[in-house]
Amino acid sequence: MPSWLNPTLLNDPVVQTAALPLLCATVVAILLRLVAGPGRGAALAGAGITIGFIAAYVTIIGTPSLEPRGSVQKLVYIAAGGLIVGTLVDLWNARRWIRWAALLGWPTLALAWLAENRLAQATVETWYLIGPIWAAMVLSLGRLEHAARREIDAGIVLLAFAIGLGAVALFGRSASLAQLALALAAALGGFLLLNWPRARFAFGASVVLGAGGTAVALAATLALFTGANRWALGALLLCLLADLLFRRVLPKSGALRAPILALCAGLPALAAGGIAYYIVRDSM
Amino acid sequence: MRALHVLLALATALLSLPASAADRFKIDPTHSSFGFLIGHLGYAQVLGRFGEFEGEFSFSQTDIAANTIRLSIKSASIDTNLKARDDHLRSPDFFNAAEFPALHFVSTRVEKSGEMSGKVTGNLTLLGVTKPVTLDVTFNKAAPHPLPRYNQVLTSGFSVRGTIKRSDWGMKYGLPGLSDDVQLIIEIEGHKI
Repeated sequence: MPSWLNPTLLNDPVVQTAALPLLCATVVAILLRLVAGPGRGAALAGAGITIGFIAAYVTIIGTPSLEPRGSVQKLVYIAAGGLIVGTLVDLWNARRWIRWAALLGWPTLALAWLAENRLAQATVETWYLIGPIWAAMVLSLGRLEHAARREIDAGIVLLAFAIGLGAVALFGRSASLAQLALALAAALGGFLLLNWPRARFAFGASVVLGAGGTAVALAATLALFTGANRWALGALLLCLLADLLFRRVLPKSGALRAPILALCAGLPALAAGGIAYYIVRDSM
Repeated sequence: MRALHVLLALATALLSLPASAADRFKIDPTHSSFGFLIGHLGYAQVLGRFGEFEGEFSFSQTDIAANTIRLSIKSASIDTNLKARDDHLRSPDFFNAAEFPALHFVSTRVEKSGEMSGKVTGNLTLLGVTKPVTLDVTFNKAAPHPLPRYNQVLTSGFSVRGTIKRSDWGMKYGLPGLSDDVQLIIEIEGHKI
């Protein structure tokens, strides 16, 4: 049997975190485009990112629990739910207010479910933590929706955010969350490769709520339940603003815009990784 | 006179019993241990323990079925002799201490299996999941504590051993490198309350 067919290959962290989600996202995006055609197929191809993430989740964490109790068990359902809600919004070509309602409602529901164990014994301190997390989640998805209007900007800033999230999780001693964040980055990478140098597929609500929703849910899990540095998580939000913050140095269009934006968005991710490395918060 | 002898003998026998029917005991955390062994890549077993727990048990040598035990273990108190690893074990990858601060065990049945041994079945709640487990128990001793500061309080001690599959409670991270089977090594000493 060739070594690449060896089932233990799926236990390899590099395969779980990089190769599998990247390959899965790319193949699913191409298949969706081929099956559903140039219009609808191109609009739905971004679903490959979340599907790639879910495939990686199964190899990293295991088969999703039918009775999810902990936040990590819930993440896969939040990813799938975001993808379904986003796909419905895309398919129905929903009105603008419905899109924004989904962008506000989905992260609210996701956070309430993720944090239910903390909300059950909520103190004033809990609300001081959950309030800013909710605001950051909603604003992040709104920002992605805004950035998605321009070629692949949203995908690039989200890629930098996910990589930074992986680093912050790793230094916060949450290896599985680090792997999941990097798997999301790999899936985004596969999708972005198909969109460079020319944007082919839309970054629709299915990507904003699916991949973006997963990224912000991962960040919320890190902030709520791990020793990950919260200042570093805050710094990561700047990744999502990179196209605005660096607009003077970014080419208006063309093949160079994407790599330059990736470098710019990478700076806050690097800073967040540095903060997380040097200031490790004690675990609870 | 003969009846008096019988009564005296009966009274002596009753008094010599180390524990009367279902006495209640509070677990002494300073002389009890809650440890575990988990396989690491097939090379060796890593030993860990929980430093903070509390609980109580009812114990009778004559009425085994009346025996019960309740344990609560603080998951953040895990200690494997390496801080970085302990922080990782507290994370959502394993014990998820922020979300699930405690493990609980409540017995549902105790059976005798030998002169000094038995089996305790109960519900173990870990990561929000409750599943039944059966553990082997060895009764070590029940007698008034010999040290003066304990004031002759009746003290009982047990050794509990068993193996659980952590994946049954949804703790799947690191499989199969970190073994699914976790051996439990529990030593319990309690004072009558």
